[in-house]
Amino acid sequence: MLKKTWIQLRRTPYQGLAAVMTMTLTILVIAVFSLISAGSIKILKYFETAPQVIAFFKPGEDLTDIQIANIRAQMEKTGKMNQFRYVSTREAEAIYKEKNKDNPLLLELVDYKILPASIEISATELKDLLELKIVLQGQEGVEEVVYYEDVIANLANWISSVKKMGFGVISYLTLESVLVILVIIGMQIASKREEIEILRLIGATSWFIRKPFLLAGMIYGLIGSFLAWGISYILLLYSTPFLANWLQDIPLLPVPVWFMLALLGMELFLGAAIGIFGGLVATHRFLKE
Amino acid sequence: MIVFKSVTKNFPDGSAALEKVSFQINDGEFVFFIGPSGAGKTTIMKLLRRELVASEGTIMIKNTNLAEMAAREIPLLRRQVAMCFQDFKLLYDKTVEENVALSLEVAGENDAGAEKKVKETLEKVGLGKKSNFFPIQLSGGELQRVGIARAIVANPSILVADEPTGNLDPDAAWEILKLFKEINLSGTTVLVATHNAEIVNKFKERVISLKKGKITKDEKKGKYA
Repeated sequence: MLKKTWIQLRRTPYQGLAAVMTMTLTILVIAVFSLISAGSIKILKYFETAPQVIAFFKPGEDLTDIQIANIRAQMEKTGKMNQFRYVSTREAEAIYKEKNKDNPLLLELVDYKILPASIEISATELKDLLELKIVLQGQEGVEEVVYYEDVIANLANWISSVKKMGFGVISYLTLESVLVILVIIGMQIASKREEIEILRLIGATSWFIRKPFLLAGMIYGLIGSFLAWGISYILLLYSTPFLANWLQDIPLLPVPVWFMLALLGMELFLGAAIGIFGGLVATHRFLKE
Repeated sequence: MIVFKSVTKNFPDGSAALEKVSFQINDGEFVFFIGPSGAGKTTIMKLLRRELVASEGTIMIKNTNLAEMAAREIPLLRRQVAMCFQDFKLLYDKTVEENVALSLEVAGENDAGAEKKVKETLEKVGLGKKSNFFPIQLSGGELQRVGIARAIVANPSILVADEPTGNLDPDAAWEILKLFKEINLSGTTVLVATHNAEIVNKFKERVISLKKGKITKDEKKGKYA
């Protein structure tokens, strides 16, 4: 059966190439959208788990334990706080030094006396951030409050838009791939009409006649998926330095190998499914008794 | 056993290809169907393999009513009632061996078993040395032998042949008919539709004569007149 399918594929190289190229494009777009979606979700998670409101106090002055406990109690009283962390001036200095360890000039110029203590808070839900911010702003000694609500909300909107757009584009390309495979297998069936007629006369079942065409569709799908995966991986590796620079502290890159292998598995499955579906529709349409 | 009971076949244009045709053929018989073009010979062959369905009457093969047969059973029927065609119906991009093996392939026979059976069958029809030839390299008589080999390789119980000598010269036609007789002697029921009176006369087998869709004579092992 495989030999028969292979001969069939070799006899129609241009049709096969068209099918594989269409499948590659479809699966490549699926891979790119999958990577963007997975990356965006990870970025969103990073922002959601990171401190969402940071209150800075006067530089060089630490809060007493009583003050910290008092602020914590007030925040807890709202019932909307998820995490609370006090960062002392010494800790701020340590963080600063760690971040600028490669820049001796900056390290020399700054010490804990000019760095502010801060309180970092995250909310259980994004909509409660504003209330927490107001409570924090009312605390004695607070000089400035930094707050990420807009960033997270914008990111969530962006992910939602990417998903909607991805769904539309992927649906369109998937339909196009099914139609291309349908037409190509239809042409192959037409060119083998005489052979199919003879097979029917000597007692071949419909399944026996359909199998090579379904297998051809599946092979187009698998080859297309593999190529798409390879291209997406190369593109990702090529753009990793640029993306890493752009993302800065967000721990998104490098993409783990297990993720790429899972993506390959999903793409192969999807490609084979599209190919088989196209083949099934074609054989159903063109192999009627 | 094959039983035709009052079988009528009408075509969509209203013409009747067969009209109330009845006959019975026992297992292992050799029967010629003769008559001019349009007599209904080919229609009988096609009805036997469910390529056509009778408009009226009953067709039974081994106690199975063909009209009641499910679509999925038709391939099995066609393997049991194998056919040789006037135009051979061979695949010209496959070798002799591959053409013959096709019948075993559709029957799900494994490659090792198929190879042996194909070899034996090609020896039987006298094409043992031409197994790797392509159809284009063969004569008309040889092409028909390939068709016969393909029909008998899966060991059908009935072999039907529609004008198998129609495209052959007299010597080749005679050889093909002799081959059919050999196959019949091994236990296969053989039905041959032809209008070659000379051959039919020489064979002295049962002859069913048809004219305009009706049986005009049914001569047991007699002489066609």
